[in-house]
Parts: sequence; structure tokens; C-alpha cells
Amino acid sequence: MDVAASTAVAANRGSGLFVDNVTKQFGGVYAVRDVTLSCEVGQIVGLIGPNGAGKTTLMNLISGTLTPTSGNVYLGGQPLGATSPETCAEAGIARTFQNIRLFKRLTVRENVEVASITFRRLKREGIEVPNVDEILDLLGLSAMADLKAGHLPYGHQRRVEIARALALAPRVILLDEPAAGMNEQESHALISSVRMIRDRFGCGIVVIEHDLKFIMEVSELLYVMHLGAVIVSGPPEEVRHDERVIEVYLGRKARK
Amino acid sequence: MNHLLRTARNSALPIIVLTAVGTLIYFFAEAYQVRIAYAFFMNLVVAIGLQVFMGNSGVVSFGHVSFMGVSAYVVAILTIPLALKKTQIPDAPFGLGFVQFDVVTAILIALAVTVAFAWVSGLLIKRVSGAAGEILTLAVLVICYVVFNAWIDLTRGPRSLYGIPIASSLPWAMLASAFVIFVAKFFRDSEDGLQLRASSENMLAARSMGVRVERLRLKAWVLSGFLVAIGGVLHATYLGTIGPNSYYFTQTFLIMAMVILGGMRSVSGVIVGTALISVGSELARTLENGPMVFGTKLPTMFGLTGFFLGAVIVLCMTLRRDGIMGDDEFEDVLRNRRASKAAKAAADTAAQAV
Repeated sequence: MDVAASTAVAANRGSGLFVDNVTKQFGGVYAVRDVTLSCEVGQIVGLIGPNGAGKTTLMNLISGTLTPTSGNVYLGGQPLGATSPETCAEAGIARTFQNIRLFKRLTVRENVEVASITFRRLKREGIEVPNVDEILDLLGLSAMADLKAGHLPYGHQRRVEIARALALAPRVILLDEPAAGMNEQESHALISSVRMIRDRFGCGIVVIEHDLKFIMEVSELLYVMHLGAVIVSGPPEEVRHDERVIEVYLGRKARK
Repeated sequence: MNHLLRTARNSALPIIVLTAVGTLIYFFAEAYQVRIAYAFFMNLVVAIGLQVFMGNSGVVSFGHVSFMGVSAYVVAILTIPLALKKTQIPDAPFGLGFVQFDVVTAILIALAVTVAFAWVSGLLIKRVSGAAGEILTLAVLVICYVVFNAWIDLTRGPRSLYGIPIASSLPWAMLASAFVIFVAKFFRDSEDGLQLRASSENMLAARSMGVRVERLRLKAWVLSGFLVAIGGVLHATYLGTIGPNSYYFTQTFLIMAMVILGGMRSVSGVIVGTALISVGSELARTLENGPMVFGTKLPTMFGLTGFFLGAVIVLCMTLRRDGIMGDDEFEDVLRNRRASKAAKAAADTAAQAV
């Protein structure tokens, strides 16, 4: 863990998401080891690492799908006490899934409605109710709002996942490989969508991605995971040139 | 309010059609045909009641016929005249041998008791997903059957209870089914219904969107228990005599075939399925007895009705798992047809313009 990053993290404890020394053990294997990460509200944070580095496990820990062996996740300075996906969603953490998990037989609009209903039930003060039509419009889904989500092409399904997460009006949104399966044009459009989401909804965004070009461009702060631990963090430009990162992740390919 | 109106509009078509057919039968058909129509409407109530849980939660339930049994037995025990009761269940517990209620009070108590029973059993069911949950519902069916059979002091066991005042008739069954159709569609399109359907599509995603799956499952279970209980009331108050075998596997499979054939996720589907199975089993029953067709005597085929139901379930499961209607309600089918017609017309005019 960088010293600079760690002090920055300590200062951010109050605002958005703060993952404090979280460890997850499966039997004797550490899937995630002493990871500390923060994402302020309004910040776009990238998370990269080779396959099996523990990125998705970390996502699952933050979103309550898994419970940490040790360590804590804070949102807005409050410990989540990560118990279940429902409580995390209610607390203000929304997520998308690496392997798309839409409600395939429901229409696009209904998919978004499901999350919107949860938000209306909670009636959190000081946050305006996100308008389903506006969300669909922002993500370019209005024209297909009444189609069954399962019938959409892959790229659009990923957008529906994002729209659905936004309808929770989350404080932090976790995007698990949002550009997977997209062509260059689509993933380029996604970059501006992600920025637009941050500007319009004012939430923090954590993005996991394999597409380096995508992640370097979209994120303001980048964490690199390897074998369950964060090895480097910092602004993308610095991280890109860090020896350790080149060694474990960008590897030989980058040196060629 | 808006939702109420929309549900009223969407359920109007099936309710009007069913009421029209029912009214024709009531006034013009023969007595045995009226009895068949009554059975149809009663089974429709039970099948749609089952759909409310199965169709929205995606969990198959073999236990719902028990709710029918519980409410039918409560109605029977509370309404049978004291003199008759003395000869049938002289040792009835809780002093039930000495009480007799009017039919309306008895029905209300029966519905309340069944709802309470549904709620208690639901507390267990809501926790369990997948095959384990389905086996649990099967256990509910078996437990209730055993109680109906073995608590002889209360239920007269395998021998039937008789002498229930006959208070129901075809119009009541039609009214009940209209009510049940409305409630089922209201729930399906409600916020709870939508979230529950989402959970049946993808459990993890639904939970990650803050869907309280257990709470919603319990709600659907109790509501569907209530609707099925209405079916039990219709059964007891029309036949005047009930026994434990009416609320066991035969009835379960009949209702299951109706729900699966039509499509369990759609209320409209269950209506279609109930209609087809009712007609089909009536035909099978006729064939079973070896009728004369064009002067030739067909052989008697004992058990054809059961075979027919089994065959429907097997064919459905292999050929069309989503049932006839799939996810669509009648209004969806109509809307889609209108949309494709409009698209076709637009394409035609475009072609002409070119």
C-alpha cells in the first residue's frame, strides 16, 4: 500500500465508500487480503488486476454478497456491517454484474422499476426520486423500454444493468466489467456515459475492467490488485508507469 | 388508484367472457352441465390462487390443495346441524360438537383460520429456496391429509362428513372466480408482484436491488392461501359432503396440470389451462366409460382421466415449458397483435410510397 494513498484514504473516511483492511478467506486461500480502498462521492475509481486477482470477490464483499473474514466496509462514515445484498442496496450501494444478471422476462422498464420500487420504499431524505424515464433516456434505452430485457443485444443488456443500478439512487455504484463484450465504439461511448452518470447523479463509481484503454481514460484513481492484495494505487498516469504494475499485470506484453 | 383502474380494465375481458358463458349454462343447460360448470369455476379459483404464489415467486407448490381442505373442513364442522353432528363426530374437541354457525359467519371463520395456517406455514416456506422449498410444500400436503384422516374426533377421518347446508350455486362460483382473477392480476402487476417476479428470474440480482424476497414470498403465500381457501368454501357449500381424499394428490395434479398447461406465470394462462383441462378431463371421463360412438361400443378404459392429466404434464414439460401463454396476459397478446398490425401497415404504406 502506498503511503501517499493511505493518508489520502484516511482523509476520505467520511464521504463515500471506504473499505478498511478487508480480508476474505476461503478455507486456507486468501481471495482478498488486507485491502484498503476508497471512493469518494463524485469520484471515478478504477480497479484492475489479472484474472483471479480478487476484484470480483472484493465487489461481492462491498455489495454484501459475501461477508468479510475481517475488516470493515464504511459508507458515508457508517460501518455497513455487511450482512446481505438487500441491506447494502438499501444503504446506497448499487452494482452491476460481470456475467449479466438481468430479469430477462421482464421488460427493460420493469427491470429499472424493480430498483426504483426499493428506493421509493426507503424514502431517503434529501435525495430526489430518480425518474425511470429519465434514466432510460440517459442510457439510450427509451426506444426499447417495452422490450423484454432478455431479447436485447449484449451491449444494450449491459446498459440496462447500469440503468437498473442507477434507479436505486446509490451513493456508490459498482460496475463489474461494464465494457466486456463491447466493441471499441461502444466502449468509447460508455466512457462518456460513466462520466455523465457521475455528473448527473453525483455518485461515486468503482469500475472493474480488463480493457486498459477504457480504465485509464475513465478513472481518476486506479487500484491494481494482484493475488488478493492491492499492490499499487494512484492516478492512472503514475500507475501506468509503475514497475510493479508492468511486471504483474501489463507484463511482458507491455515491454515488447 | 391508477393501478386499481388498470387492473379492472385488464381483467374485464376474461371476467366478461367467463360470466357470459357461465350465465348461458346456468339458464339453459342441463343440471349435470351446470355441475360441471360449477366444478370449472371452483377449480379456476383454486388454480388462480395457486398461480399467485407459484407464478410470481417461481417456487412450485404442491401444498395448496391443503388450504382448500382446511377451509372446507372448518366450514363443515361449523355449519353441520347439531343433531347430525352428534351422530358423526360426537366427541368433537374444543366443544365444537355443540356449536353451529350460520353459513356466512362460518365462511368468514374458515377463511381466517386458513389465512392463519398459511401464515404459520409460510414462515417456514419463505426461508427455503429451490427443490427444498418444493419438498416442504409437498410435506404440508401430506401432513394435512394425515390430520384429516387421523383426527377422527374432529374430521370423522376417512369417512365423509355430510349434512353441510348447501348454500352455494353457480352464480356464487362465478362471482368468486371474478374476484380471484381481479386480485391475482392486481397482485401480479403491483410493486410487490413485480419485485417478486424479478426474484424468480434472478435471485441475486433482485436481492442486490434491495428486493426483500422472504417478505414478499410470505405475502404471496398467504394471499394465495386465502384465495385457495375460497375454493375450499365453494367445494364444501356446494357438495354438502366432504372427505380427506378430495384434498390430496388427485386434486393437486388436476390443478397442477391446469396451471402448467396454461403457463404458470400468467393469470390469463391459468384461465386458458383450466378451461382446456376441464374440457379434456370431461371428454376423458366420457371415453373412460366406453360410450357408443357412431354405433360402435368403445372399450371401457378405466383410469383414462388420470392418464390424460399425466400426459398433459409430460407433454408440457417436454414441448412447451412456459405453457400456452408463457409470460403474456391477454392484454399483452392483444397489444402485440395491434403493434405488429400497425408495423405491417406502416411497412405497406412505405412500400407503396416507394
